[in-house]
Amino acid sequence: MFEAKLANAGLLKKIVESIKDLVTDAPFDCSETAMSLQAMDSSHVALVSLKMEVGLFDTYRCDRTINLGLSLANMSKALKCANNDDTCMLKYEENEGDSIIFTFADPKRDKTQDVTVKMMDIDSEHLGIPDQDYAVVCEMPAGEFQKTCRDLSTFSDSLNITATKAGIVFTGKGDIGSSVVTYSPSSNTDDENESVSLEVKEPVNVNFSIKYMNQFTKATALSDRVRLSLCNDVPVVVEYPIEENGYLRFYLAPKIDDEENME
Amino acid sequence: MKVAAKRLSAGRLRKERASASSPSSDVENSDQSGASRPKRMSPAKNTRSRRAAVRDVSNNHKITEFFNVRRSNRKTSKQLQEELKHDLRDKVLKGTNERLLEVYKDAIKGRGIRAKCDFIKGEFVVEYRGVMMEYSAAKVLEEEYSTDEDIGSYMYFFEHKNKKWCVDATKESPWKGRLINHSVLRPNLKTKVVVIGKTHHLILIAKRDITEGEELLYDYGDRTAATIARNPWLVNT
Repeated sequence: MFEAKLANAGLLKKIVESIKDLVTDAPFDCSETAMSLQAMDSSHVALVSLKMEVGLFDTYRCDRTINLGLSLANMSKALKCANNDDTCMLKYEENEGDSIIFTFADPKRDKTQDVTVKMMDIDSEHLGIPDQDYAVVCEMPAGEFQKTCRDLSTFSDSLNITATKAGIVFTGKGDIGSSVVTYSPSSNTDDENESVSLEVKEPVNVNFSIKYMNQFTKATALSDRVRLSLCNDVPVVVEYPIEENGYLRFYLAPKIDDEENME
Repeated sequence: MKVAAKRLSAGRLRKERASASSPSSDVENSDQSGASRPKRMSPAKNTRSRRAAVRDVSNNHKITEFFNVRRSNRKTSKQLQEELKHDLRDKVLKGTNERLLEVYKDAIKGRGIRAKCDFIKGEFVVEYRGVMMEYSAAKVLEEEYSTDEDIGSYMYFFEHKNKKWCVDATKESPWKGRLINHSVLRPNLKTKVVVIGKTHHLILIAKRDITEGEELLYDYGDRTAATIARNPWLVNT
């Protein structure tokens, strides 16, 4: 059996809301140490990798490794029943059919609500993610990254990122004009949460679909900080840490450098 | 009117793209669902982004070009471990390795065991099979056996989880583990205790690579003065 309780339903809500437009169904792999998920978007351009370690949960019990296939839309519906401050218990019992039970409890009102969601058979393709030494790792306030992506997307479909020791530059260039955002590592403020840190082993110059980036930044609610790991010609990693006990990572394959497709 | 025209052109474009690359339709769907939600998007802007979405996918590398899909031939380390465990369990419980060993007669040592195939270092060779018993019971039995000169020493004492155990293989049986000779100088096997289900087993694994025809030998480990006095070969073979 599997039983895990979160102190706040809000956390799971945020996670589900930030990925449900990208992936429709997801296989949650539950093991003794963590509840995790890996899924590609339907066009196989982006990959979502979620890990919720035991430390995130108030109680956690998983007798054996199991795979819970859930529709994220249905999960979202279930979670809409909960207030953010409610506790959220996930429960699955092997011999009780193919459903997972969400129990939301409001400690102030002595109220509990059970929501049962049917599970799905998901024929999941698990991808092996190789260890990669990234040439550039940049950490910045999650809100800052979200704003940059949003700003640039008004000009362009494509996000160009270049990074050197001197700084990291986000460029969106389109028919109507362009927008360029530059962060220099020297511009660090005293507040650690507001700073932009940059580690550059080698300069990079990469292009990504900004539409996907805008999807990823829905996870901004999860974390103050976002970490971008970049290398030429490999997928970028956009990582949101979850309370030091897990992460939500988005991998995005680069765009094909091909200008003539711009009609 | 203008919007409708734009939509039409977007639709046309979509068709062209769809023939060029099939998976583009999905991203579009997600965009449409985005449009149905009450957002700040104006319809005109929406068509623009729809067209962009079409362009995006045909223009983008797939994540699967970088990360391999793990099909049945690609397993996680955990799966592999699990399989090895399963494999070992089968081999121990069914005794399938017995047929890979042969009994031979040596003028001095009596019976011995030879490998009928190669084993690689660390590979399971055979179980030292007999009656698993606790130390106290085994000691009593050992006393009994010692009074009879015809009974050889087939009791292997070992520790498992801070408790002393013994495998008594005194009784003649088809299991060949009990016939493997001793060597302290050049053993090619070593003992190991493995837990399978609720019971534990004493097994012999290859200490180094073993080639076909080699005699299998392991260190019996008994170094008490009394036993050495009776069996001097324990320290010089």
